[in-house]
Amino acid sequence: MWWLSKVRGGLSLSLIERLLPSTPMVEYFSTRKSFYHRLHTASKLAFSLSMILVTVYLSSVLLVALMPLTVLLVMVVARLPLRSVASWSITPALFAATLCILLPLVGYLLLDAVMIFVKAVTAAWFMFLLALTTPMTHLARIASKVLPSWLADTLILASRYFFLFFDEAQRMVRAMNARGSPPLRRRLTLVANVMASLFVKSYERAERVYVAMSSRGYRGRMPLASPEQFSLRDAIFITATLALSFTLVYAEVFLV
Amino acid sequence: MKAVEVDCVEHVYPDGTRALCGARLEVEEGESVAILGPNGSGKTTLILHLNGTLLPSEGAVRIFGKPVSKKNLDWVRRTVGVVFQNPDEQLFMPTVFEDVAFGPLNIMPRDKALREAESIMEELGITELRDRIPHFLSGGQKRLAAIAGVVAMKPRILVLDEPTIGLDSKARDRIIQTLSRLKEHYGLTLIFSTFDVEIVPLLADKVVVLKDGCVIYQGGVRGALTDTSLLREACLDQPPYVRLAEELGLKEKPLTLKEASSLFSRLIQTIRR
Repeated sequence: MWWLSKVRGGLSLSLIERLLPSTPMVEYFSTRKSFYHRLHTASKLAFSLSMILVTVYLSSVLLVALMPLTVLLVMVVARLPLRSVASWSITPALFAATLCILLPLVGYLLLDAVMIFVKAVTAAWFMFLLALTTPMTHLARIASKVLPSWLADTLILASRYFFLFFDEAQRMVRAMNARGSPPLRRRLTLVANVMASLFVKSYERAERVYVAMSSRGYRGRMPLASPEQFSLRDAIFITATLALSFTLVYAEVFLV
Repeated sequence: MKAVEVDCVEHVYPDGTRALCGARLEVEEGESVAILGPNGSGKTTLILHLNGTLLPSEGAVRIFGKPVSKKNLDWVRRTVGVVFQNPDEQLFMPTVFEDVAFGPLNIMPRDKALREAESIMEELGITELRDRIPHFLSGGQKRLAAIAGVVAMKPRILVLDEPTIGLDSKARDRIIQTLSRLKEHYGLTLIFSTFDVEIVPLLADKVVVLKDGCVIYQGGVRGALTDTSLLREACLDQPPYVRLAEELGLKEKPLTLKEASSLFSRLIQTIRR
């Protein structure tokens, strides 16, 4: 089996890249110029969040089945790579499946378990839609408006240094693999060592970044520069989102 | 006027490492100074004292006559811009433009800050990197973006820690050209640490050589780069043209390609005659 060979052959980069959106891909897709990309971040956030809430609320099979079709349709409009999205969905799908397999054992119907699985994967797709159509800087700007400054600043820095942390982990794993392929048990110990070393490196880097920030005038709040204009198109889109949400809830309560 | 005075500075790290032992240094306004020295000689520690990131255990650092202390750190950091060695630690914002605008937004009104950021990116020829994520830039682009972020704050003194380390020759040339242009355009006092002796004659008016935390030479560029025993003591290479001239037994030692080509064309003409 392919996954067994991957485990035997070491932590493979291609496996990680297949299961998680790679950072250059996120950058590439989030800066494209489709109709959906051009919407204000608040509009896209409102769409994704309201659709997730509606998906969670719905219980009719027909309406729940409509939700993945909706997100797929928007992904097509936004010219996102459906094949890659399907591949990245494996991780949330595995999490959801682990839970859903257990549900029939504690008295739930199989249909309920399938519905929860579909809802979980659909919610993940709505978040993929947001992440792949919105530059990180715009999400950071929204975060800095609604969250306490320390939390918003942490998110902004995390969005920047996640890439570096991930690259460093990849380099260390590659160096580990280049010096032979130890048995799985020893490999797990080595991975724990790699994580510990990464933690120490990250701590030291955090101190140096703080020095760089304070030497450029940082006094507890990160200012953001890039402006985003809220347009008529956004107003229409948010109205349509609300209308769709209410229609689905109305259909759930009164029609189905 | 003296832009920087480092007066008998000692620095002892909490683990007991003595990184600077009575370092003395004077830099005139508008001067360009190269701090040379091998790894672990105290170059970075000295640089961190110049904008108050580290304060001396003994001695004093003065910027335009004012001693650096916790009380005037805001002013010191506005006056002395430091570009750190690793640009990944300097470029902490999600995009290049956000990063360049970070410093100005902290100290200027918003409109002026954004104008400054735009204008310095244009000046450094990196406007096409505006919306790029710093992680995906090349080494040279990262270095330019880091310089832009510091110069956008309009410092009077620009300090760079190993500005050309790890760069290919094309990126290195671009950094040298950029620094020369910025120095000329803004009248900056330039201080940079390096062990790349080839860039020193292209950028510096004066050289400071550090070894084990002590200043062992302070003076002219030619005096430092043609002194074989000094360079050997500081574990530094001779510039290639100086080495060639020594190999050929020539008295005149050229520091740059321009000087070398002028010397050798004169020699060739003499031989022909």
